Amino acid sequence: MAAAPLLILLAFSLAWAITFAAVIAGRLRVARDPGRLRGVRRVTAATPRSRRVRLATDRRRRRRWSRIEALRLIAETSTPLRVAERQALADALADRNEDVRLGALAAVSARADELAAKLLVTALVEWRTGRARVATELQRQPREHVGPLLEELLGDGPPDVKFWALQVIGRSGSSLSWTAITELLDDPSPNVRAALAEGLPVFYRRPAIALRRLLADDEWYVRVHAARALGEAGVTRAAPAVAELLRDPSWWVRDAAEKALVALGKAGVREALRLLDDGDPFARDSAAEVLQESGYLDRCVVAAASGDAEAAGVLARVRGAAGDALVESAVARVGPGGETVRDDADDEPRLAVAS
Amino acid sequence: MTLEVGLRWAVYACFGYLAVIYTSYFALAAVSLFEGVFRARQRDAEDLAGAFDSHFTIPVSVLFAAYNEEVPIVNAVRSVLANQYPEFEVIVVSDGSTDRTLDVLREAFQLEPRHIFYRKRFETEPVRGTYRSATDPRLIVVDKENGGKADSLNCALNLARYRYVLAIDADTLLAPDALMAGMRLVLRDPGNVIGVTSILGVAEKPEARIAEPRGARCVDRRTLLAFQQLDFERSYLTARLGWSRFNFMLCNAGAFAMWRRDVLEEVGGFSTGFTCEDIELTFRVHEHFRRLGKPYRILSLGETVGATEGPTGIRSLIRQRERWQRVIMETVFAYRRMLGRPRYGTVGLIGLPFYVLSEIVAPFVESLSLVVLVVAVATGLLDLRVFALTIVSLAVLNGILANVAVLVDDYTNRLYRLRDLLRLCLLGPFELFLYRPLVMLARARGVVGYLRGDQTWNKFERNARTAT
Repeated sequence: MAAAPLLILLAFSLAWAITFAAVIAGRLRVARDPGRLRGVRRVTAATPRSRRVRLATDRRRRRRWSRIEALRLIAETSTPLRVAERQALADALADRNEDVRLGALAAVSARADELAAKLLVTALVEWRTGRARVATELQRQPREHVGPLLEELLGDGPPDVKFWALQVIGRSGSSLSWTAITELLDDPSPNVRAALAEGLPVFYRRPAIALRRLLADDEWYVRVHAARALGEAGVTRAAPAVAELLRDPSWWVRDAAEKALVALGKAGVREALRLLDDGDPFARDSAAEVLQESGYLDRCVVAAASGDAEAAGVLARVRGAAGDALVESAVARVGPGGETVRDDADDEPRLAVAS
Repeated sequence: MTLEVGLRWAVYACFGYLAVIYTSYFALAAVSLFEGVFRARQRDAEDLAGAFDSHFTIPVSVLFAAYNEEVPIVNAVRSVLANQYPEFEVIVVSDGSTDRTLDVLREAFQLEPRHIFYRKRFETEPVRGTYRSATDPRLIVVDKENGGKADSLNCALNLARYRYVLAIDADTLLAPDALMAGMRLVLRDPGNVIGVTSILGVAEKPEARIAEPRGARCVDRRTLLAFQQLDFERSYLTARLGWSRFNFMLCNAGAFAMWRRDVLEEVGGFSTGFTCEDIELTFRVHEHFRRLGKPYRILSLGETVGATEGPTGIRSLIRQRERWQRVIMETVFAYRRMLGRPRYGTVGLIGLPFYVLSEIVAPFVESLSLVVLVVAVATGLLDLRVFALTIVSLAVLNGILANVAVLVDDYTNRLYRLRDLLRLCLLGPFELFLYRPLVMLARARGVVGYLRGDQTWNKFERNARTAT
């Protein structure tokens, strides 16, 4: 009667034992081969170069892991690569399978030579998705290898390619000619203009003129990047123009302008003080927040506590502009008498900006 | 005679149910095994070294909702701040805590009061104050009136600045590479991947576990916690990985829930109308995207991204699982219209029916099966040896599923010592006798609680250790 259930139980127990053994075997086997792509037995460091190429060009989906491992080994080769090996890397970077593309990307990037730069720039142009990953790897390449190749893309390339080229150039610290910048300023793609704005402090020694123009761009995120860049570049003369963005309809633009004004120091604070009485409540709130984030509000609390009428006046204006909470939090921060205020390395009179 | 026939059919029904449920478990485990190995290989083949310090890596806002979490919160926040990731911010919302949650945060991170103007996309309970850390400006702490976890997460969402948000529990300690592990597949396809979750370890004191090096981590000595660890591994590594494969991942779990922020804004944020927010939000996102026919992916990964605190007492465990059961009941009932509807794709046709079968029907049928089989043995309808062999077979089947989970875990993470892995494997067959009855009881209580309309949180008391 119980023979069938017993047999079933035995079969289940056998399955349990097999999976249990698999846990042990899995741990022990992998422990022997650290650093190798797991589950790939067909290709090892001892595999001849011709066979590596064969494996690296095997397009069958189920062979993708051994293909990636072969690509890695090819890319690690210290001697000059053969034509077939170069072609295998290039083909893999253009493969339909994303895993193969990303595996090839990692393999090629690790070479960090001129060939790698060339292949990665080609990938940047050809990939439809995942260009951020290519850009990440391009960032790791020597500037002298990728710089000239990327600058070539700024001419008539598709907007996405130009965008990423600009991003990488900006992050690598390369400069651009004024002619190139003026052409990019009129680029029809807002993404390109945003990338230009972001990188301008790096691209050009005096970015203020171009950035001020981008502050008035129709697209909100171009204005965001222009404001941030002006803050980063410390263009104090642009503070009034940045302050105008505190009235921008986009929250992100106001936020970026606010942070830029904080970064601009006294010039930013001066503009914030001016906008405390603005008709736009968002501009008033942001202006008050600039005073808080720049530390000016804390200094006002300290000065007001010691009887400074001008500081007391500023506090009253901040209360009027953005409510009591901002001043109350400043008081809580520095203590009612200003005893815990942190002294910034500012040797000028504390309220110099106000006067 | 009629009674005997009825009982006979009931016995057949029990065996039928067991056959269906275990077949589906094993099918899902097989898919999960494939998916787990595939994801691990994919990760190994991909070099993310550049992404760790790249400007092009998408930044993340990490959101904490903390109610009376003075014990774990500081370590939890520290674990996030210690993450190796290019750009992120941490927003902790103290949800009207009545203990020293705010004080311990203030002391540990030198919080300074800051008034922050933010976009109030979601209505929440009033905010009493906002603070920023003087030692790490990435940390913002909000003190607000009590409004529940969902309300707090909505408040944090109002302040979040980045495109992806990660909602985690206040007792969750993240591994140093957790953010990158969570974002890895997002970085591949940010247009489609809108949600990600991943497995966490369970421990009495997560901070001790998280400090142990890879390959030398212990599973908690307490058997109850080891069973919880096994339960998590089975849930994530033999079920959710499979759900991900077919894009019906039904629970982006609150302990580690990554979402694209615009999706949360689109669907209206975290809902305060349910006992717990995570499952409901996942269902809502599925419903929204499937209804509109928009492409999307919600993924569960095999990487252990941290450790969370597990209840050490049976009573606490039952309270926690009871709440989970209530949430499942609430959510499935609220989204019952998706069940079996081709419009909702794999969610409506596979995910939800499976969920109903394994999570809603299971508590009733499991209890009923036990009663029916015992009665059948008592009346001589079922041979005692067959009954015993059936029970032992089920135990072994559970053991196999546990082994598969451990196998996937070790293949992916290489985290625990071999002896601890073997301990988990050996515990697997005993799960049916020692752990499952507790879960069954909790589920039954959860069903009763749901029918009563109970929506209390029933938080278990944090395990005894000093507030940092």
